[in-house]
Amino acid sequence: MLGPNGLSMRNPLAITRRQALKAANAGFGYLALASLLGETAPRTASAAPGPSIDQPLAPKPPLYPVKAKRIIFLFMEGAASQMDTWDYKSKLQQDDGKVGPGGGTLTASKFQFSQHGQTGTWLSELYPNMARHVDKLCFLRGLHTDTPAHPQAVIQLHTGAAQAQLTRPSMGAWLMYGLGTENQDLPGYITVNPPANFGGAINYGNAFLPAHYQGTKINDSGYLPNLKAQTTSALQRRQIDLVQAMNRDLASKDGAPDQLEGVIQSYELAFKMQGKVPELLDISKEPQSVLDAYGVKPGPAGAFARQCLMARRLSEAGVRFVEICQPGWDHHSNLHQGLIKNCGATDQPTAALLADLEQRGMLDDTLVLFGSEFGRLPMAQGPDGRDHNITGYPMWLAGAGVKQGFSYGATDEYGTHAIEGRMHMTDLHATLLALMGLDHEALTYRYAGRDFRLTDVAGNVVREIFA
Amino acid sequence: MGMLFHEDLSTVLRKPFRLCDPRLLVAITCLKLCSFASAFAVEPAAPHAPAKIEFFEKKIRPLLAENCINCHSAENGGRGGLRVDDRNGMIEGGGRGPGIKPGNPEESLLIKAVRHQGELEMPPKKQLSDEQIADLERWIREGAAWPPIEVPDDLTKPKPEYDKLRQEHWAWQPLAEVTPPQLANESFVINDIDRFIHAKQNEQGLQPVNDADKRSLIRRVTFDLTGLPPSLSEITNFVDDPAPDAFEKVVDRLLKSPAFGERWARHWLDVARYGESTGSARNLPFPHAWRYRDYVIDAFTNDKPYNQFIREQIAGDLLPANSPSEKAEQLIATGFLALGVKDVNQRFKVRFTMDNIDEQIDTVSRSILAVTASCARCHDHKFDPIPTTDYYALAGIFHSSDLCAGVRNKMGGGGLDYYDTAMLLRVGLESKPDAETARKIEEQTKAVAAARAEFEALRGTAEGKVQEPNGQPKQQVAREKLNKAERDLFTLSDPAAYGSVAYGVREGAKIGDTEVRIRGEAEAVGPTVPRGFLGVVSFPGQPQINPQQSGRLELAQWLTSDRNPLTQRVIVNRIWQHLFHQGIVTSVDNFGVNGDRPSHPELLDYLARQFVQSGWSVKKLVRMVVLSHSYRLSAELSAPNFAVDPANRLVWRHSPRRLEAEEIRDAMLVTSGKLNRTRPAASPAKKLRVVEMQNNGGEARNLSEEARLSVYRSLYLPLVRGVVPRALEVFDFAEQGLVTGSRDSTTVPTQALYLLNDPFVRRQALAFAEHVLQPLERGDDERIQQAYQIAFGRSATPTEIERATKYLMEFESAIRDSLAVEVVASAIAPANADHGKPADGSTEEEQVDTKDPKSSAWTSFCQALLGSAEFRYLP
Repeated sequence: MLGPNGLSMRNPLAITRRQALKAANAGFGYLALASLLGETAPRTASAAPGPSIDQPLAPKPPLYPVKAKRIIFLFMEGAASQMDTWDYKSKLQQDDGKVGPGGGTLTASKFQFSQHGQTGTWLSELYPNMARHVDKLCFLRGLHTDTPAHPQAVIQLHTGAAQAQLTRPSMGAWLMYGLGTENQDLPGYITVNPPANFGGAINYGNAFLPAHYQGTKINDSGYLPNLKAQTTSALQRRQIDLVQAMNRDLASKDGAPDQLEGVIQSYELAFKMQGKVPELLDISKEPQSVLDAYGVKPGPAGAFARQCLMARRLSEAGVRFVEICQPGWDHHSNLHQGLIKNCGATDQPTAALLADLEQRGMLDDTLVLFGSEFGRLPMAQGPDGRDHNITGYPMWLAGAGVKQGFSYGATDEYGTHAIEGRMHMTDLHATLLALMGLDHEALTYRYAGRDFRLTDVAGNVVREIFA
Repeated sequence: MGMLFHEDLSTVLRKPFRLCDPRLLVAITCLKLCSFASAFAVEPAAPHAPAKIEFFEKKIRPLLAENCINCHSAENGGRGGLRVDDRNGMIEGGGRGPGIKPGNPEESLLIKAVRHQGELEMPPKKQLSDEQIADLERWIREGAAWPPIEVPDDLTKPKPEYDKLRQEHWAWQPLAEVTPPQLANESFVINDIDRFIHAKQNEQGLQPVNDADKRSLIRRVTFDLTGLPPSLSEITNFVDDPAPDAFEKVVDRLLKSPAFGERWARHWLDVARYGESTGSARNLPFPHAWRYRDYVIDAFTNDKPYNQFIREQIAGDLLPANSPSEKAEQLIATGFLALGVKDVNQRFKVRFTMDNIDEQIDTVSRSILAVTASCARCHDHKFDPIPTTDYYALAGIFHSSDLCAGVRNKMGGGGLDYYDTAMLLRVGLESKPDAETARKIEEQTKAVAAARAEFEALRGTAEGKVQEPNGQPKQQVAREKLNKAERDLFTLSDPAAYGSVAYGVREGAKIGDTEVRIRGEAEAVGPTVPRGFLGVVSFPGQPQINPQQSGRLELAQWLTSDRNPLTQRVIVNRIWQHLFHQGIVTSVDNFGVNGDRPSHPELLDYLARQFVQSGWSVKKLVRMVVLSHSYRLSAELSAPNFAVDPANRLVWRHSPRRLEAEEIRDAMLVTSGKLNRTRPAASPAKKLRVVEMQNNGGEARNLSEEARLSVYRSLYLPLVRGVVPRALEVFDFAEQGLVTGSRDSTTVPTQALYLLNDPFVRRQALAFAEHVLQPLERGDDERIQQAYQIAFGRSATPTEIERATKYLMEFESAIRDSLAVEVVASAIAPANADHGKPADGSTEEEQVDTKDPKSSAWTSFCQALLGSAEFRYLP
């Protein structure tokens, strides 16, 4: 009795959906058996800013053309001591044992420094392999952040804000929101061995952005929940085909939920991920020469080497943002042995990653970021330690879009305070987004009545480092 | 170098707050506090005389910068919790108590420390000159002068645009007197809701689509009201009931069921950002949070009037109670204010306090009023008429209350350091230790005293250095014994160990107004603002705050006054949203200027009035809405309607929805026959100690394990922040740190992976299959029919039966062919069998075994039903 006149008319949307499904139908099953590796979705140019509703993860062109397509972040959790590694301070070496400005006893590095490369960059003996790559690096030596506590600083490094009450999206999630992902068969944002505390999942979360943009956590043996099929691929394919047949039946009904196409796609992607992700993360198939170059070995000592190799493979496959992590840099004590151990774990793999990326031509469109949530003080803490320093510390970049063999900013003569080229965390974020072709002031998301940004209301792009 | 630090110190004092818009700040001309105009109702603090400030600048500031700031400032974390870059920070002091007492150098810890006469010697390894110490003494004696903080003059400037908005923006206006529109054709109308809906449709030339069929309707209403699928007999009874009030009977049955309370409680828990831990940087459990959860469930089950529900959550401790159990209930209700995210690792108490107050203001204002008041923490709200002074008027109310979340702030620290048993609410009768416990506490207190005496006797002596047989010095052994004795006493005397405790708030030790914090910086104290409410809503006869109390009671009265239209509109809109999947105002948590406009403003006001007249009854409103014709439409599309109103704001059809995470899991447990519908005692989080949890640690693993094996309804799963059960996490569970009025509904591949591979799903599918296979004499057609009935509440079509039969046959023979008899159990492992293991060694990859190929085929089929879109989408 209440039926509208239009009932006999075909709904244009329903037809579109059916047509789409028909087109997609041809691919089911076929797609699953087709090559599961290296299938990169074509770039679809879209004038509309922000992700489309139907395809939130479709790759989107950057706002302006840039070289960098993806980022690998090597996170040194716990705050590595810069004055024993990347930041040589001759004055500190001379004034060992004297009272430092503002109190405390200056303590020189116990490690030998020497100059390397065409640039003559000073580097400590802890990084013999990285010494061969100093001319590729672009140092940011004047960083500073807001909170000298690891938890807040780690969260701030990852989300732009240390404010505990309102969790912000992580920088990888912002990148996904702004750029989508290159490979539709893989998660676009993967974090390996993220810290379990210091905010935990906040550091790769989507917060109020849609869930598509959250990071996927795996460990250095390649574990992802629910990824392992519990039956053979052929039997599972049968089951998926049945599910998809039911889904298509439902989708063909009048008034079916708009999301059904998304559901259908999600099964196909899930199936592909099951086949592809374990293979992608299985570094054992790499030639021995590559494994040796990275220094892959079993157990915790080889964890970072495995992560570096996984990072290269994931980036190569088109993952937009990969983060890997070396913990244990919080050397309030045991600085000497601790550094030998941690630098030993990171030196060779990091150098191998840079060499590998370069050899594959990937340094042209991949940006590598290396560093900690903050740095350490030139003053001694106890007999063999250094305390936190948020007022001046370095990180480095390498690869797409940044100058090679370049150094931006500086700390004072002892390495306490950034005095030139000062970059706050938000400036780093603004610059990273710019290197990826995004405007940090334009990349906004409206939530709770506000337009949120990774950089909140601050952030300066440091163009001086652009190649 | 001294100058460098001197500059640092001054920049610290003027550091722009990073959450403010610098473009705004540039536009602000600042004036000194001393020239503050008193036209506004804020009081300036008395400024210090210029000569004293000059003395500070000349003598004290360089001294502090040279000798103290390297360890004691906000920038470096303030060792010992002390900071000297802020006057209040010095007064407040650190872990050893107040640093200075203005006017009284002899009682100032700072002076004792710099004299190097007591236990504390500062600066370490260096003593200040006598002259410097004398300067410090003089400075403190003369009142510890500090330069005034610059107050932006717009703090007090009247804002004509605010007045205009208060008078004009729809949401703040009193409810309109509405009469339902008259319709030329009444055939659509079941109740007044339909008049409003249909009148709008007529205006736009829209025709509502056909009614939903009875099966769809009972499935829809049963999920909407209880979060569970209807049983087969409930479906049949309704389908076969020709009575005109058949649907009404169903609705009344559902409203009475305990499942209604559980389903609707979860909606409120989303809004109340419920979680069982502090979340944030250091995650500490809230083992007693479940009492608040149960309170909310009982409130919805018993249809507690919403105004009373809100009053209890804001000021339950201040309300009269008729019985001890009512008192307990009212105290537990205030858990609403306590269970938010907390950064216990915040070193500075004042920041911890102000951050928590901000969290409370944000939660209260967005959940109850749908205004984003916390924007006004740092500057006047940019869009809505909420000046900073309004924010601090509210802040004063919470500042006058003790937040009892059982935790204290502490930088660093470990173990039970963060646990503060003084900050717990005792509820119930048994709030004293029994005789046995009391005796043990007494004994242990003596043991602690003895251990302390033993330690003190050895401390610093030659004998203390003598080694015990285990190689440790005697002094150290004694210290460890003392530590253990203290720990044991702490555990014994923990009120949670011998009585019921809960989280919430109580009246603070200090009651009074608080100051505006310039740019939101907790230490940058500006003028004091009288406690009060938000100016967006004001009405004659508003409650006046009793100066002797916090003001929460009056805040509760203001929020729940019959004359406060905002509270009513907001809850009515939330209820509407849960039934129609979008609100009359789609931005359910933001009714401000930047929020959405109501699609049916008259209907919203009409419903609000009905709601108040019915005694603020949620059940009556839900009943009225679902009994409307508008609720009973099918989900059919109609091209002409779609062309005009693609988003279905005018309700010309029923928008389909995906089930929420809890509903999906609960429905699976129903199909497997495993669901336990009773309420479990407490929560798995109850047994957690209040120590930091690691997301991959043992406790987290145990919680995940318990969640995976639980057969209770999903709202009873442990909800420790950061350790959300996978069944909830994958399907867009509420963000537990924030007011979440509407959840996402995504279709990410992790959902498909979960449905394909998670042991929980496979276990339910196996039980489902065993149930369907049970009566041996039946044919497969019948079994398929039954499986469809159980999963979807409908029969299978002949095509579906054919497809299922073929699937089962082929699947079974494929297994036999491959000779993998226990194929599911002995699944062919992925190529890299050594990889793909969870690092924490959890059993998430548990195998679910079937006993034979037939069982495997049926399990696979049943799992396909659970994984299909029809299972989790409602038309």
